[in-house]
Amino acid sequence: MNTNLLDIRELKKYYPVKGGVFRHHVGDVKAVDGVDLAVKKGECLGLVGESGCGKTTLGKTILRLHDSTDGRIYFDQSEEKIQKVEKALASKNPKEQEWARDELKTIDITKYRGKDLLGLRKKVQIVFQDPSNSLSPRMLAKNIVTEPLVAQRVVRGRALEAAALELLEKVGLGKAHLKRYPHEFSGGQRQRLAIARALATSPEFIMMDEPTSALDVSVQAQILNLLKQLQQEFNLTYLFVTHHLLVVKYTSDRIAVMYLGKIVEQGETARIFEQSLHPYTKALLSAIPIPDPYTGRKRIILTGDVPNPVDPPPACRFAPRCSYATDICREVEPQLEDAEDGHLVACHRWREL
Amino acid sequence: MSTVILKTDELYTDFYTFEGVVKALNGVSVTVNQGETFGLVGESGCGKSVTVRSIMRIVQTPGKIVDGKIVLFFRDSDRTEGIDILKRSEAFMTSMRGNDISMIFQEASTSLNPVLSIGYQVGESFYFHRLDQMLEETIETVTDKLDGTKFFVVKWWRRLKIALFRRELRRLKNYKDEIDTIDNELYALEEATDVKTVRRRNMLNRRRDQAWKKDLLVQLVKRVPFLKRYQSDIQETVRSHVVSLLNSLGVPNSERCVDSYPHELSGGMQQRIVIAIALACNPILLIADEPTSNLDVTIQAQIVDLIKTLKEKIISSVLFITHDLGLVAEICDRTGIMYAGDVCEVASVKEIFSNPLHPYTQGLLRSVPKAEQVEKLSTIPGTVPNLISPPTGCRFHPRCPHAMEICVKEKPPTIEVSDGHSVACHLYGEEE
Repeated sequence: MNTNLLDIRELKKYYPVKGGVFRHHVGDVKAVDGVDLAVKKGECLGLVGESGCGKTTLGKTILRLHDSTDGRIYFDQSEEKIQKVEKALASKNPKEQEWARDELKTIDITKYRGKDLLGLRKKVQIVFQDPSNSLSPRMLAKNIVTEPLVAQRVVRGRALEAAALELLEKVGLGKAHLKRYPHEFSGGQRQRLAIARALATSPEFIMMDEPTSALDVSVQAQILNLLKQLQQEFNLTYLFVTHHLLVVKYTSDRIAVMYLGKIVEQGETARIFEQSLHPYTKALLSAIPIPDPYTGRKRIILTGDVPNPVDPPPACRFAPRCSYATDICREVEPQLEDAEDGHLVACHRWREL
Repeated sequence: MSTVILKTDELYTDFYTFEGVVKALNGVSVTVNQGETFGLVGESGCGKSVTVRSIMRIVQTPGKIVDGKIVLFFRDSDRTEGIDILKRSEAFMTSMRGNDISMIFQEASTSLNPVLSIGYQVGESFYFHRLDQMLEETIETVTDKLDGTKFFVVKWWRRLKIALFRRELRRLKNYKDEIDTIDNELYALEEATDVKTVRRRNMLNRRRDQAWKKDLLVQLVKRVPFLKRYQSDIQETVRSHVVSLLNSLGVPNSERCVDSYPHELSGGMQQRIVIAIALACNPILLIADEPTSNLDVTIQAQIVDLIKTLKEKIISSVLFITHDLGLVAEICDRTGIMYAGDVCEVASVKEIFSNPLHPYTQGLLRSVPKAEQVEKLSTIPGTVPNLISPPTGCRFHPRCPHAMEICVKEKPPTIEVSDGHSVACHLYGEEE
């Protein structure tokens, strides 16, 4: 029995950059560049990072909204099988490699086609960032929330309205909202609609792409509470993508910090907040404005901006902005290593800092 | 007691839309003192931005300032009454915006013009408000160069330049003197109500608007293709000022940055440019309308740090608008909480966070995820009301846990509970 619902191995997503007279390929935007990540069943994993670091791209690649350039994603597979396939892929025996490649067609979701893909879509869903843009303005609320059911051919005809009502009641809306258009809802209610739509096919995994960034504080609290309650009720697994660290702290069990297409630190929420190891995480945490005038803490202010992902720094990607960077940081790329029971960090100097 | 720099008194702004009249501001009274950072907090749609747009008199078209006073105390100390800018002409406002009061807008990427270079956009405010200083400096540099020149044509070309700049400067000084005398008289007529003086005041306002006269020779030279190049000297002076300003704001490669266009810069850099435009003329009041809402936390920390250090050095007062209570705790001295067009509570930041009185403030503070939060977040039930038909009496009463009968009927008056802490709620004041 595998405790991981989702296993991501060496996932890469490059966007080609075209230039010149004949629009030839001149480079790549390395949005996601070799990510290893595991999401456990029933947990909420917070994915944190600045804009442009590739967190949304990673989420969308998991959902197959983007096709990955390289790498493997296993969804709900047994651990032995994954290990067997990974071992075969790494081996030098061509026969074993061929076997592994055949095997991947059935267990790696980046290779899914047709019916397999349709089946996957039933299990993974997404809630998009801005509810006012992700809901079609010309569809009634009942049609919006039942559209996944229609696409999956689960429910049709007269049963649709009952299904729609059931979904709306799950997220705290009612019968009065069935025949309304998105513009008649407030921001918070729209996000509730989007959540109801994601719940329609009773998925196992939902990706939350900054679900509260377009909302006000008082409404944000309502939505966060709703998400927590739904998670317990339906035993859901969340990937919670956001840049708001305090929100992540409230919702997530574990946190992964991303910087320029790479995961730099990963661990339990409390551990990350109390004893973060990577200098980037430290700076990120100290930059959050805390709503309390009495905290006399010192901020670490990073200089400069996130580098261009077309041409990232060669070794450690954080080195140009890092105040602890030494020569080794500029020459050798750090790998994720286990600091203490499941707390992973990718930094050469975490022991000294 | 600190001196007041800006005071709005019972400000009402309405928006006349097709659906009806949106009563965006419902008697907003705010004061900003000299040397403090005042934070205006509220959810979206509560009228924070409309308040500051009213202060700048740049409310968009269906909107109109219906009633109220906006009083500024920025000139000499003897003008104890202040200037009510709602009674002044548009030309007066134009000369004031960006000079005495300036504003940082919400999104840096949309508030910069994509087709003009950074140098032009920042230099515009030097050119507009500090033309006399620029002209004087240019005359000086050209005169310095003149001494060394021997070549006949160059010598005469430089002499022509100086003559033209002097002409412009003289015209400008005459204009400023005239405006000053008119302003002095206008100031005396501020509170007038009888027909004769009001007529006189309107006439003065009109005359003030038309006082600027162009110099014929300069206008002519500016039209002639080769001769109009004489202006390149003043452009150079402006450019050097822009470069030094950008340097002081910590823009790397400011020489190169001046020639680039907004899309070539990152979000944080764009926000720095917007701040540079606002600070070009050392305003006495800087209005920052959610300056960091679209930036990442690390960049936000940079910008907030910048505003903090600038406030110590250059600007005297900041009116900071935000919806992020964390930022308020970080940089503000005093803060006002707004809800649906009302200012419901004003107090010092420490007082607001330790002893919130208004039910809305209490709810707002409880619904923010905090650093040490573990248990369930509490929420404020319901949503922000539609301001076309706002709730009667206190606008918060439909969502308020302590609503009483009187809340439905009467708008609560603003009561000063303790020193500097005032609240607009019926729960308080009865016992005193």
